[in-house]
Amino acid sequence: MNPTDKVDDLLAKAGAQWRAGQPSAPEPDLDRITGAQKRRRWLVPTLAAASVAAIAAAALIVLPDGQQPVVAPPNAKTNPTPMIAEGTAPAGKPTADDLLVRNGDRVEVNGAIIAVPGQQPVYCPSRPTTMIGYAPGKEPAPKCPADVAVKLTGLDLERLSLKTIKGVGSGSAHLVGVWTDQTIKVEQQSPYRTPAEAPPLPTVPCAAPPGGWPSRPSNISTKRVQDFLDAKADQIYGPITYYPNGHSRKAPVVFSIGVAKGDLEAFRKTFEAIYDGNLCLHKVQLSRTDNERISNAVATVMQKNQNLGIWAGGGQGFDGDRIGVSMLAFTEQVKAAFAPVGLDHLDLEVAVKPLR
Amino acid sequence: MTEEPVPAQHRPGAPPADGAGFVDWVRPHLPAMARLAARLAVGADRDDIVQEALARAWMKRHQYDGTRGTASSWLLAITADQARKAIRRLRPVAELADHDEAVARPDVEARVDVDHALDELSARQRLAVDCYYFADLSIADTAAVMECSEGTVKSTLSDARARLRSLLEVSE
Repeated sequence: MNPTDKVDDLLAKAGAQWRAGQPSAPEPDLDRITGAQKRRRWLVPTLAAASVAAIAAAALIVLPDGQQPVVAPPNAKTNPTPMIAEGTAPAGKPTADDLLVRNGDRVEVNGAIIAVPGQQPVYCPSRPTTMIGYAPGKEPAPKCPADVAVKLTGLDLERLSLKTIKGVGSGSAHLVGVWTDQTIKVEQQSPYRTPAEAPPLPTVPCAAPPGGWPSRPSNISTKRVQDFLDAKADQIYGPITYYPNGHSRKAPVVFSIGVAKGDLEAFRKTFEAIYDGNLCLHKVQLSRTDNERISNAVATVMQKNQNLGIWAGGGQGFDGDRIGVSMLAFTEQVKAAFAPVGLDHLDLEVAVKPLR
Repeated sequence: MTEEPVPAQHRPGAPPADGAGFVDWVRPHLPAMARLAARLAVGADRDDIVQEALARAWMKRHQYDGTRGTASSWLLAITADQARKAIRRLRPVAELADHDEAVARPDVEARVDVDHALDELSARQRLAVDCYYFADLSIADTAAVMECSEGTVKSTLSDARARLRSLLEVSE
């Protein structure tokens, strides 16, 4: 017998024996996964090495007990430090009024077209759906829910490369036309436009100190610090974790905390008494508590208005200033539904975009 | 017929953007994620690592590209990353220094225990063995965790077996 094969057998048996003693995999915690728990953990994608990302506050490197901590100076103004900086939140997006669509407005859409024989073709926006795999030839006919389907008049189906499944054609296109009550009278049609790459992730909302952010441990995940921040939930937002120099082992980690209420320097003084590590304090509009309140209000609007073509809501951004809401079109009805929530605090993502 | 470009959210196999759908999408891969977390982060909270990996995958779901790898590879790479972070939280920073070389120990010749012999492998060899033999990952998934090619995984496993053969004094 080949001795290497014998080792292979040994390892295979040892592995099987080990697996047999393992408990079942945990059931996914949907609240935690989607960030609905009280303490939100921020996770964003990794970019290239020089990129910046924010990840879960839980993903920290913490010095063990007894390790000499790197103590941040108590006040950046009187004792400049490369570890502490201050900045402002990133600039905002289009306002709600910029996205408002009224009857008679010229609009554009880009995406899937579904053509059922004997019916008007419809534009079906890209939205979260459950993907189900089907064996070839077993795929169901394409369909689009009525609350998000936009009827199309004047569309030249001959100019689309339609794929037909069970008699229903589907393709994609970029369309420009006039909006009237969830119908678009098509004036221009052109090939589907591949969306631009996602915008880069936000950078640390504070200027890097001279010489750049240092690599140093943080105690932000300690109970003492977490309890402190939890107690300030109505004042602060975050922490958000940034990796300004990528994710290598020795790359610096920066934690940003938004201060929505009260004096920023007063908070800094108090917080630095218990916190060690790179820190970026900056002003934000909404506290954690504000974000929770608005997210809950958005969810309530969605539940009460299930015919308005709103398919996603809630979630919070890097700066804690806006709550994301995704929908077919920001119409007067949608505007009225969300007005009590506070439109200035919503980050609207629409499929039907007005052309001003 | 020319295929039109398809939005990411319409790509076959893409993670669903609704929570319940996402859970269904990841469920087949949970056992492997849990095994990998348990193997790579001994002493840490395995379930916490898995949940954190799922949370990260949820946030990164729009980045998943089925043309570049399978869902299992993607999820397992995220799990491995979370496991490493969990280990860093457990271990003193001083122990985090790179040590990818096998450590020679004079008394190891007398050992016949597989677990002890595994401790003598280099970090990369140990990782390959943990993934392939213990977490029961495929070569492709192991490559995703190790961030290397499948060929490198195979050669690393081969080196590990050869090293273990010596350590365990396996004879023909």
